[in-house]
Amino acid sequence: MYSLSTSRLARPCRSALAFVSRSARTPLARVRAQSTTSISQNPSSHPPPIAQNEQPPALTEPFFASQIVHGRSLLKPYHHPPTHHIPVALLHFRSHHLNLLNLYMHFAQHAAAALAVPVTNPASLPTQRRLWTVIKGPFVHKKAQENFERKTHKRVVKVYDADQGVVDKLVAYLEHHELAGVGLRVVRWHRAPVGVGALTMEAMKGQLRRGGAEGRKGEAVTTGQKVKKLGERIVAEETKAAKAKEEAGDAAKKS
Amino acid sequence: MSKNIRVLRDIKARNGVNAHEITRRAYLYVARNQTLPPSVRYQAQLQLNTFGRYTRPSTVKNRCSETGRGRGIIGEFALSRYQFRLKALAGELPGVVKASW
Repeated sequence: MYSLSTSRLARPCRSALAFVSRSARTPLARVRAQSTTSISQNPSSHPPPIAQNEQPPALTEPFFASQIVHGRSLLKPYHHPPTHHIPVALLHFRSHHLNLLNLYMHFAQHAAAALAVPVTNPASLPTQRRLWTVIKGPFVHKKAQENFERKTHKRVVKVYDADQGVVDKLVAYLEHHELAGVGLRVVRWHRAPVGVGALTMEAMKGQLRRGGAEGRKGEAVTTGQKVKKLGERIVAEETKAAKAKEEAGDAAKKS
Repeated sequence: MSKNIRVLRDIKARNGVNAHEITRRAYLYVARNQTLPPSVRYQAQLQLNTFGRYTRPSTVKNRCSETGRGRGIIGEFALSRYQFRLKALAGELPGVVKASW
C-alpha cells in the first residue's frame, strides 16, 4: 500500500486511493506501468520501488498520472515534463463549438498523461469567422436583412520526446474516440539518419535517368503536361499543313 | 433538387467543360503563343471556334441545389440566399448560427 503524498499538483480522489491499494496487492500494476512508459530511461514514470520491511514510499505524481484510474478525469490533466524537448508531433483541433472542443481537449490531455507522453498546454490559434448577410425574404425588401456567422475555433497541442510507436497509439486512441463536431489533424516529424540528403539525391537522379515525372513510358501525368504535349502535337500538324498549303500555292503561281 | 431547364443546361455545360478542358487549353496555348508563326496560330484559333458553347468555362454558372435559382447564390452551400436562411434557422447547416456582436 503506497502512502499518500499531499502534492500541490493533484490530490488523489477516494476511488483513486481504492484502486492504488487494490493494485498494490497485485504485481500486474507494475508491469502495466512499465509497458506504457515512452522512454525507459525516464525514472519518474516508474513505480517507486518497495523494499522489504520498510515504510512504503510516497506516491509520486508522474507515476500516479500514468495509471488508468477511474475518476481522475474530474481533476485537471497532468502534463509529464519533457525530457529532451524534441518535438515529435503537432495535434491540431478544430471545431465550430467551443464546449465540444474544450471537452475533447480535456480528454486528449488525459489520454496523453495516461500514455506518459509529454505534451504542451493547448495553444489557441486565432478564431476564423465567416459572415453572411442575407435578405430575409425571397423577393425584394432589401432593407430587412439577417446576419449569419460560422466560427472555427482552433487549438494546437505539441507532443515532445515520445517514440513513434507511442505517438501512433495516442493518435489511434484519439481517432477511435473521436467526438462528432471536432476535427483532428496530425503533423508528424521523424528523425532521419545521417546521410539522408545523399540518398534523396541518388533517388532523384535515378528518376531523371528513367524519364523524370513522366515515368518510364514517357506519358504525361499532370494536366499541364498533357496540355503542353497536345499543344506541341497541334503545332507540328499545323506547320505541316501550312507548309503543304504554301507549296501548293507556289506550284500554282509557277504554273 | 428542382430540375428546370436552366439547371439541366448548367449540368451539360459542366460535363462538356470537364471533357474538353485539355484539348481547349492546348489549342488556346497554340493560338496565344507569340513565338509561333501567325499561320499556325490562325489555324489553331479556327479550330478553337469550332468548339460548342457547352465546352466553354464561361457558360458554367452556380445554381441553387434546392430551387435552381441563378441569382443570390452562396457558393459554399450551393444554396440561394432564402434557402440558406431557411436551413440555417432550422439548424441544418453545421456551425452556422445567427450572428450577434
